[in-house]
Amino acid sequence: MNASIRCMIIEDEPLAQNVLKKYIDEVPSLDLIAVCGNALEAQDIVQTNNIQLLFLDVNLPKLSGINFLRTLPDPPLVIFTTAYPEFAVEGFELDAVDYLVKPISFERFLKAINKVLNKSSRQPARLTEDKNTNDYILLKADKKVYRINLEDILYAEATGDYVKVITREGQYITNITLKKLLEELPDNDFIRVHKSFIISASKIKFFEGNYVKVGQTDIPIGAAYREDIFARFK
Amino acid sequence: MFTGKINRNNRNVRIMQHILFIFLVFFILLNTFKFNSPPAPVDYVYTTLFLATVLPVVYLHLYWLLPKLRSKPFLVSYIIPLALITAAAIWVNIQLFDHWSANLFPGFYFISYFTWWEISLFFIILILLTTLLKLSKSWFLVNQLQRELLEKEKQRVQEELKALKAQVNPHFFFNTLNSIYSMSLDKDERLPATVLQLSELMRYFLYQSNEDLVPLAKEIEVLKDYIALQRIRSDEKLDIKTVIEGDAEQQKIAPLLLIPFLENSFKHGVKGDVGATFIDLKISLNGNSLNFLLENNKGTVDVVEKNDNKGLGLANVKRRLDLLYPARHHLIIQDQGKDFIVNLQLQL
Repeated sequence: MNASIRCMIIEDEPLAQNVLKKYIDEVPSLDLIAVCGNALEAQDIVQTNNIQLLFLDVNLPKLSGINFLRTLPDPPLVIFTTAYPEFAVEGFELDAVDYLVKPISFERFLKAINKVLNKSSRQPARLTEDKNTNDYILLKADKKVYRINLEDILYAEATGDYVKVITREGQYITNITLKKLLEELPDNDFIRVHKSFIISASKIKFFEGNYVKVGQTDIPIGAAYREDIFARFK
Repeated sequence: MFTGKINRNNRNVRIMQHILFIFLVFFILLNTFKFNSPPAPVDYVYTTLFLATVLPVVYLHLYWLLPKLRSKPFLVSYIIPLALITAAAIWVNIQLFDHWSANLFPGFYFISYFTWWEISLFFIILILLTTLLKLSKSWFLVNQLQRELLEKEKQRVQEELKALKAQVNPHFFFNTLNSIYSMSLDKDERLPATVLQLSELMRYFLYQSNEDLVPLAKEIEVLKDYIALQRIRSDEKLDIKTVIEGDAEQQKIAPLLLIPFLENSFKHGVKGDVGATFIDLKISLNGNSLNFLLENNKGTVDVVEKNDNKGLGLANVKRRLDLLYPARHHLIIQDQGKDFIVNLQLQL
C-alpha cells in the first residue's frame, strides 16, 4: 500500500472542522494528523509533525490564514477553506493548490485532493520519495472513493448523466462530467477524442479510419477533435 | 432670471403667452379708446399706434432693466433709465398723434384726446401690470424650485438611509450554512432549531428591514437568533450573557439598528483572541427609553476583508442614528484596550 498524505486542519469553528474531518476520513490516501483552532498554535505542529497538506481557513482569530501561510518558511501544500470567495486570487498567489468555498461538497473536496495528487506527482520531493505514490486519482463511484492507478485507465466514456471509467481491472461509474474528469487527469497522457470519450494516449494500439484502438475497444474520433489528435501524433 | 433649460417647446409656449397678452391689452385699450361701438377702423389704427409706443418701454423694462433691479447703484441702473425711456416714449406718443400721424395716415384724422399725464398713467399701469405678472411668475418658479429641492433632499436622505441600512455580512450566512451542513452530516439534534433560527433571521433581513419601524420585540428576537447562530459556530471558550429587561411589546424601532453593534463585537471579540472571549449584552427598557449596553473583549484582529468598508459598520449606525433619531439618542463607545463597551440610549 502506498503511503498516505499527512494532513492537518486549521479552522476555528468546530462544526466546520467536523466536515473536513469526515471528508478526510473517507479518502484512503489522507491521514489526519492534527486539528487546530487557530493559526498561532498551528505553526509548531506543522513543523514538528511533518505536515504535507494543510486545510487552512482564511478568517481565523488573531492571525488570518493568509498571513499565517506567509510566515511559514517551508510551507506544505495548502488548500484554503473559507466563506470568502474574494480571496481566491490571493490564495493562488500564495501557491495554494485549491480554494474551497464553504459549504464544501464532497465532490469539490475530492477534486482538490486530485489536484494535490497531480501537483505532487510533478513535485515528487514535496510529498514522498516513492515517485509512483501519486500516480493515481481518487474517484467517487457507488458511494465509495476508489483509488485508481492512472496506469490502469484505458478510457472514459460519457453515458447520459454518468461517466464510465474503464480500467484494466474493471469499470467505475461516477457522476462527474467528462470535462471535470479531464481536468483532474494529468494532461500529458489523457486526451479528448470525441464528445463522449477520453482516452489514455499511452494505451493507443493503432488508428484506423475514424477509430482509435485502445485495449480491445474501437473508440470513435469526433470530427471536431480529429485535427488536434493527428497533429499531436505526427 | 430663471433661464435654466429652455427647450423649444417651452419657448413656443412663452411666445404664445406674450402674443396672447398683447392681444388682450390691445382689446382692452381698443374698448377704452373707442367712441362708438363697434369700434371704427380709426380706433384700430389708433390703438395699434398707441401700443407701438408702449410695448418697447414695457419690454425694455422687463428684459433689460428689471434684471438689473438689484445691481447697485439702484438709482443709476434702474430708476433713471426707466424714467428716461418712459418719458421718451410718452413724448413720441404725443408727437405721433399731434403731428406725425397726419403725414403717416393721411386718410385718418387723429386727435390726441388724452392729456400727457393720462398717457403717463397708461404707461405706468402697463409697466406695473407686466412687472407684477413677471414677478408672480418668478415667484411661482422659485416656489416650484424650492419644492423640487426639498423633494430631492428628502429623496437623498431616504436613499442614504437605505444604503446605510445594516447589511449583515454575507459570510455570516455562508458560515452558518456550513455549520448547518456539518450538523446535517452528523444528524445533529440542534439542526432543526438552527434552520428555523436562520430562516427567521433571513426573513427579517429580506422583508422587514424595508419597513421604517418594526416592533422592538422583533428586533430583540432577531438579536437572540443571531447570538444563537454565532454561539453554535463558536467553541466553548466563548462566554455570552444576555439580559433583557422591560416590556418590548409596545415599542417600535428602526430595523437593524442594534445588530451592527453585535456583529462588531463578534468580529472583534471572538475573532480577536485565541483564548477565552466574552460578550455581555444588556437591554433594558423603561417606558420609551431604551438602554442598550454591550461589552466584549477586544483583541487585535487580522482583518482579512480587503474592501474599504471595514469599520464602516459602526460609522453607518452613527449616521443612521443622526438621521433617524436626531437629538433622541446618546451613543458612547468606549475602547478600553482589552474591553470594548457600547452604550446606546434611545428615545423610541
